[in-house]
Amino acid sequence: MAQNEALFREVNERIDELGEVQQDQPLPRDYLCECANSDCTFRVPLTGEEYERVRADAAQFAVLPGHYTPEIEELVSEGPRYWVVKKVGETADYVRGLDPRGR
Amino acid sequence: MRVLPRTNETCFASVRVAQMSQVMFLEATSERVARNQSRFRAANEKIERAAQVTFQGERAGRLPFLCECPDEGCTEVALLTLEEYEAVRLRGDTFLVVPGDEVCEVDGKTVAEIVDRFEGFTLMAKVGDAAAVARALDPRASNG
Repeated sequence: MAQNEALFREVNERIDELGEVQQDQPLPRDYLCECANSDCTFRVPLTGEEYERVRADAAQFAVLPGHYTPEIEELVSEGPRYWVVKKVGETADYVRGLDPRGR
Repeated sequence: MRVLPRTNETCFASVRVAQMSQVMFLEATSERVARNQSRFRAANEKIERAAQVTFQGERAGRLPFLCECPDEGCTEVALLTLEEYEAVRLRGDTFLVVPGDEVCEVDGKTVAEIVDRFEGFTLMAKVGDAAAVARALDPRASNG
């Protein structure tokens, strides 16, 4: 499940890269939900600043409200548009190792 | 103000300029579309490399790849197996798009055609100038 979240983070990093020209726009952009469900392709609206705050910790992921799997992660924050979840323990180390920004 | 009648020569010159402008416009359209789609292809190449690192030989199932349609703001995702993705990348002028995003014409110019439809994605091929630009920008071709 952590593999899935890491891969969707990779896709979101690419979306972020492709949209860099519009980075200064304060309006939310559509990123992919980074939840543990590999079939989930729902959108999570985040501003560039919100997205960067999530990415500041490589163990954190942005998910749609409710797309939280308590067995494998802890809930960091809840908002109307998105929730932030965080991997813990060995899984956190694993996803940190796959962080595209750490390469 | 007196309007001078246009001579045939002037008319022909005007038509030629208009035709050349149209040709330049269409070439620019093809190139712009191909360049934009090539950016999305480059992003998908990075996603594939990340998937290979993440799954390291494990069966990965269907993976998320970005739609490579001409819309610069499109963030739709198609789910493909690595084998399906590799089949798309066999040629430098083929692209994957999500079903419903099959754009064959841009600004009245034919830039692509549908090659095949699959469950989660449509395989498209660039045509004409757009195909030449897409092949020239193929990262796999430049890597030998």
